[in-house]
Amino acid sequence: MIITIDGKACECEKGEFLLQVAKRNGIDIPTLCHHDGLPGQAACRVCLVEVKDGSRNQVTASCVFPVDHEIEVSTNSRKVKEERGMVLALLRMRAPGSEVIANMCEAYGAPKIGRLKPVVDGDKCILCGLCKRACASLGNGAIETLMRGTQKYVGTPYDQPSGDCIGCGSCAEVCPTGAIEMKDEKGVRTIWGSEFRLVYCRECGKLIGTEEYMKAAGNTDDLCDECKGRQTAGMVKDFLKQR
Amino acid sequence: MYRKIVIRPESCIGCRSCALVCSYGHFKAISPKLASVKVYSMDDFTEMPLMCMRCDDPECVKVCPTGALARNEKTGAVEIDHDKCIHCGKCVAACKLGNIHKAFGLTIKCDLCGGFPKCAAVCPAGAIDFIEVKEEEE
Ligand code: SF4
Ligand code: SF4
Ligand code: FES
Repeated sequence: MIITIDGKACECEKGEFLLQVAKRNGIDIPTLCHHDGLPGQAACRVCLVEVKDGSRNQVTASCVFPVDHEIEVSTNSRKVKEERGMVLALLRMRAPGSEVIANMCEAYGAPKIGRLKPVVDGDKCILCGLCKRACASLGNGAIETLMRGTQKYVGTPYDQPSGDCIGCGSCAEVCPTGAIEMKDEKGVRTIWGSEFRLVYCRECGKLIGTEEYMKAAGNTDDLCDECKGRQTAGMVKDFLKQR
Repeated sequence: MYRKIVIRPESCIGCRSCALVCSYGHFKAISPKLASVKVYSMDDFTEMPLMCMRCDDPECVKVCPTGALARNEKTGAVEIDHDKCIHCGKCVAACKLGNIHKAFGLTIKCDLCGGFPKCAAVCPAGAIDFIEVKEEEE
């Protein structure tokens, strides 16, 4: 099947998401809450595009829009620019502390909205929920979105240190706005109000994770990748010598 | 019939051309840190090139939470989809052979270059080879 994106003919399969097709064809669509490994968030709405389908026109989130017949897509029409700008302007009010959002507002020409005030000063979180999905995918489920409406935030149940968190830092890694704080200091990692003892390679001293994390990964021999490789190299060598 | 990598450490001269061509092939950068083949200098002054050995039942695939690691049935290599990876590092910890590592925010492992390993092609000493194996010899 062929669809056109910004005038370019793009081949795609039925059921593929628009964002995927655009990406493959080198067409850039900004995203915040999309991650190929954890798809289906559709929370941030900055990936808006305009879809022309016969006489119908709609502006929609490309990361969750499945292609099922031939359509014409525009990633930069006046309407897209306007609506995306507004989305970004609102996200700036939500996350005034985030540099990523500020830069995007600049790049995509978000309007200034005078009559709105930031929800929480200095906040960086846009409540997309990518972090909690990453955590759930790892089988930990230590964080959740809590409360409703303007009170909503991401945290551990009752804001207490969660026994399920293993301190892996994947949440901080996937967060598009850098909202999650993680600190490694004096052999201790602090994240989500919990403290974890850091584990260092017993051969070379390289940081390899937290105690809980190593257990979860099934690694009981505290070696880093390189020292494990050296061990393997030795084993392979001995094996080849014997033959 | 299939093809597999063989290493001959006794031939390796430690030039690390394999690591350079690997990093360039995958990331258009010349950096041994980005290479999925590593050359270890051993205690007895010999060199030993090493890359993913393609376990029958790979731990890395089992622990990956997002399906970023999957076997390519054609080449037999476990490949990583960088877009799907959330950098949890579980595969790095789980690989007992030490053949997955992280560098510059990327998780790196050998994918046999999609079926034509450049390390084997470029090695001047014949220490890495990509040979055909007949089923009965397995
Ligand atoms: S902390 Fe980051 S990943 Fe989590 S909901 Fe907020 S913006 Fe999204
Ligand atoms: S680091 Fe990436 S590839 Fe490795 S287990 Fe985590 S998500 Fe999968
Ligand atoms: S990337 Fe599509 S809604 Fe966030």
